Amino acid sequence: MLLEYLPVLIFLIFAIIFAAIMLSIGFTLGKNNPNTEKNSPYECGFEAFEDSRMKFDVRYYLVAILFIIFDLEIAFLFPWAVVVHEIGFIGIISMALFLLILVVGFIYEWKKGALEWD
Amino acid sequence: MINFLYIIPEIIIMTVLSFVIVLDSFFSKNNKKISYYFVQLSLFLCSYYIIDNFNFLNKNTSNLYNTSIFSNIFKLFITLSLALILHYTYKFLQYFKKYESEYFMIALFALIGMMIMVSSEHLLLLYLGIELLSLSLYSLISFNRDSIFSSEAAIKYYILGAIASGFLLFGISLIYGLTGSLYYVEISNQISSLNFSSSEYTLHAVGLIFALTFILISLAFKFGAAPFHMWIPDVYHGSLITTTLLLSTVPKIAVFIIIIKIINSIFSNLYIFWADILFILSILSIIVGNVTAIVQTNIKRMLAYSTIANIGFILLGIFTGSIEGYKAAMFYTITYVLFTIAAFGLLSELKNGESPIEEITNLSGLNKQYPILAFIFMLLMLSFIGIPPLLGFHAKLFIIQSLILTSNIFLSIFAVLMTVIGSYYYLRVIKVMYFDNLDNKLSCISTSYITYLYVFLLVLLGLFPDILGQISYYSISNL
Amino acid sequence: MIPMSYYLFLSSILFSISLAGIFLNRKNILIMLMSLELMFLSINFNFIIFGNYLGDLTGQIFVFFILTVIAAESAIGLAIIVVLYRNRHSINVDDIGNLKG
Repeated sequence: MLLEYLPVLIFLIFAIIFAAIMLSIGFTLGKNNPNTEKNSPYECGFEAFEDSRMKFDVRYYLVAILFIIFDLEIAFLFPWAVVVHEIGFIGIISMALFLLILVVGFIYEWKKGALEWD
Repeated sequence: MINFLYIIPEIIIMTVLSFVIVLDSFFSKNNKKISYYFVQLSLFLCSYYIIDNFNFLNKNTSNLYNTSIFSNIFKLFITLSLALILHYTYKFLQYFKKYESEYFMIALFALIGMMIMVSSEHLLLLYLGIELLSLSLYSLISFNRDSIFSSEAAIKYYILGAIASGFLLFGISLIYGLTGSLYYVEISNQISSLNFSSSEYTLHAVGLIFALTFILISLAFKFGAAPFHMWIPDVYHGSLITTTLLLSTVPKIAVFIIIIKIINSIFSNLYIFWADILFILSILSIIVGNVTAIVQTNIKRMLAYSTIANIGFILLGIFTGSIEGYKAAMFYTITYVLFTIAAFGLLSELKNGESPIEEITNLSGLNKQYPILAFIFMLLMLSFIGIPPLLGFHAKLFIIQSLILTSNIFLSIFAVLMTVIGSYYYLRVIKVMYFDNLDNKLSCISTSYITYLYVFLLVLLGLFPDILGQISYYSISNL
Repeated sequence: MIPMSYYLFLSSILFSISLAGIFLNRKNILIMLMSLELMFLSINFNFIIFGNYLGDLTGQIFVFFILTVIAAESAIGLAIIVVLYRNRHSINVDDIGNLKG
């Protein structure tokens, strides 16, 4: 039974050996003379202007929170869409109610100003 | 065909809730209190529907959503209690200028969660109900946004509550894997076909015992039984007094019903295992609650520990595993909830200077200024102790009676001894109210005829305990 | 064919790791939230394995519901953390200790 995994094992061994060889070639044959320019971090096209471990604005959290909620309705919509032919009218009504409740939440969120950035 | 007529109480609440959520965001700041009246209206509509269609609802034969007499009685009870609680909440929030209509909407969400919990006959529904309730409670606890205590209590309850739901889910997944079903009926059929009496358990049996333990731990957590009580004092202390009022009353009924249902229908064959767990939980709760309450100075904290002790008594009734015990536990739960509503409701109507009541010493000299309120509060405390003509006496009596009937003599002696120890901290409150010097900052935010009427009714109920006894017996036998 | 007990071992180990992560973590509440997420995912794993084993769809449906509920739960958790941060300018676990008695 374990024999089925033999190719995987061989593949893993090859991958490790191959990677080790490539890295050691680079280490031994390449020239190594670092300077400050080379070691400094860079962003594409322009100079780095702040540390990447900065603090986020709390408003990102709010957007993330709202996103999570509305994101997961899709988890219910996809399976529903696959079988909507078979479940008929009741299915459509149920999904309509579900979306209606979501819309209520959305209206509330909109009127509360949670979608505005400022 | 799905019959929606049986879930009209839930539909009423949900519809009104959706309307209120949309309408409220269009109201101007001064008109927000209309939302509160809508919420109360939905509660009364819902209870009216349940009373009006009591016999019709009982005809539901679905094994997914149960609307039997038992669950209807409790839906009614929960709805009416919530109406009273929201009345106190409204007055309190108005007075302290913290009114937000969201508070009442979230309370309605919690109500729907509790109704689903009471009616569920399927583990998925049970989980969804519990989560709806817990999520609402998390947000209600953190409602007082400017207070450090409030957000701290919320995060504590949140982390521990999420762990508890994790345990519940793990237990449910084990049950699902071992029995292949999530319906209570099918699970209990499957379990009764297994043999638990032999000395060597099969893998199935061991898995089910694990599942039982996980589920009971999680429910004990939601109930607040020691050693899973860590959150109760902090949360009661940290949140607004009206949130404490909501949190300490109606959810307890819902969780109690879940425990009774799970133990009685799913795991009735595993009596020896759950009886042991409940035994440990109840003994620990009674000891921890009564002993720790003595040293508290904050009144909310003191009542939190007294809650833990009371929950110990309730679990002691369930522990007996007899109909008598269940009935006694149910009687105790109802009594506890009724009196806690009165106690916290009364506290929410008092203020110390410009802030709500916090310390026990804030109440000093209440008798000199408001003799009626002091008398009422004394009655409530005496009922918690268990002084004869009041309802609390009958509650404790029934529990001890059921213990003696199942020949747990030592346990009943233990219960009586612990009642005596517990009386100390209730009596201290009475002493502070009657014999200490008047605290001049103490005053009342509104005259409370509803409280007078309510406590009067409670005293009447205590004189005729058979009414409540019959109700609890009737509902238990229709479980 | 991998025996089913292996899957169950994996999910129990994940569950235990997440539980240890919650109780041993003494630094940041966000890490607690991540541990909670891991806990629920290990349970989901359990459900899917059982559902597959029994040839029953209920397990997978349960997973959908758990996913949505934990999404709502973590949204509320994040909101509480934001409130907490606003009040005390720190979300370290060690700093939470005002409620005692």
